[in-house]
Amino acid sequence: MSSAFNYHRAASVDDALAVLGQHEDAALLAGGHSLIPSLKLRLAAPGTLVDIGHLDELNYIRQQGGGVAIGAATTHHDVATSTVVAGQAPLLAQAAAVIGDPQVRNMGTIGGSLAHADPAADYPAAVLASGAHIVARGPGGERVIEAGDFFVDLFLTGLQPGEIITEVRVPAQPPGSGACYAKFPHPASRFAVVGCAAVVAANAGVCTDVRVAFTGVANAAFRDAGVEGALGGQPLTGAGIDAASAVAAQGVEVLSDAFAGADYRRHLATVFAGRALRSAARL
Amino acid sequence: MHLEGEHTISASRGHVWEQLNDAGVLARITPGLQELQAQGEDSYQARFAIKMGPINSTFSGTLRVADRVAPQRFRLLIDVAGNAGSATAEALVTATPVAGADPEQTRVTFAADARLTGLLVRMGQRVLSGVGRLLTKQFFQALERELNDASPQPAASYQEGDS
Repeated sequence: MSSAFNYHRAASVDDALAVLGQHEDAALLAGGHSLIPSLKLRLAAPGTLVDIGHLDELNYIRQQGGGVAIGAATTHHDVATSTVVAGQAPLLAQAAAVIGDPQVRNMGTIGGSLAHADPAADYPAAVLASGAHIVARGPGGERVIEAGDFFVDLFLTGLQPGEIITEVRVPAQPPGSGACYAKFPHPASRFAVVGCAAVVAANAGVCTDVRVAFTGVANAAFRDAGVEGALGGQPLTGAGIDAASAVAAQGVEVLSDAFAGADYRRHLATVFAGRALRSAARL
Repeated sequence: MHLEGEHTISASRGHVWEQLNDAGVLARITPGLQELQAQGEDSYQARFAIKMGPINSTFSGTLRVADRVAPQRFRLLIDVAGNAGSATAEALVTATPVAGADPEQTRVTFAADARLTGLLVRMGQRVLSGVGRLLTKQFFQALERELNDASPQPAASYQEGDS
């Protein structure tokens, strides 16, 4: 049983912002798949819940300026099955398709997942490797945050208090490049023990662009400069990918829990970097 | 849960020691510590508020300082409980001058073993190692700020007790 709270069904994003501004202990509710469990256990007791999950103005997928714009309240299922996302930003679709289970994908939203910033969530790796931007609206107006500046630490994002994520803008994947999200799911929770998102492009057999991002490995999802540096400008071959993958998660403080210790998790990072890169390179 | 960290600070050991042993400073730099009230010599009533992701919970209990060897080391004994569970922690804090450093530098280390019970562990096991690392980082950042900034922000209230 949760503690008592006031429920406010927001009429619009502006309405939600106003209520957030009035109540310091208000929390945003969209799909509810992170917040409701903690309410039921009384691990959190916000005085007011501001529901934005039903807002049409946050629920859309559209082609926009050479990429895709995804409204924050779009469910994982809608992202996973959208032909627009599949065509322009396949990495996002791949990640969305393996989040949790069907129940979670039918309720959970992209904005909710990003704002929650669970260290093992799938979206952050895909958002980082795609070079996406996160649009937030707050009391001071709208601002656009680069994915690389967004995931700060455990459950900690670049969002300011009172801000709401409204949109995720994903640039179209460059023609000729390949992308893959490879994940080792926890057998019970389906969270990523390790998840690796990779984008690669090659010209005449030489890797011209490589972006590799991990989730599940550290306190926050991150781009792996070590792997990217080891593969960029090198021949895009199986051996080249194996050599680059071997340096995955170096210099990173790796998470450890009863299921996967730090050494095992670091090893998984090298394995899944290899799988994601090989698949993205169609090798 | 084991937590540890170390940090080198550009200040003399004497100064660092003084700050670490000032209950007012300790109240400001310990992550989540909201209230610290003296109960007796080296013994305090403490209230922590932990806000991290979906968890927003308070814990109350005692905080004691023991085995003080000036200006080298002391132990912090923390015993708190709240509706999300309880935590008993023992932390060793040491201060060592960095040899040959000019101006003076001090290496501060922090090593704690915490025993946690309740919902905290059941729900948070997956991220506990990350939580520990984040709290340790916050502790050192706050200590650094305290030593460098002449007018630190009050993050928690500290009251002298009646005793």
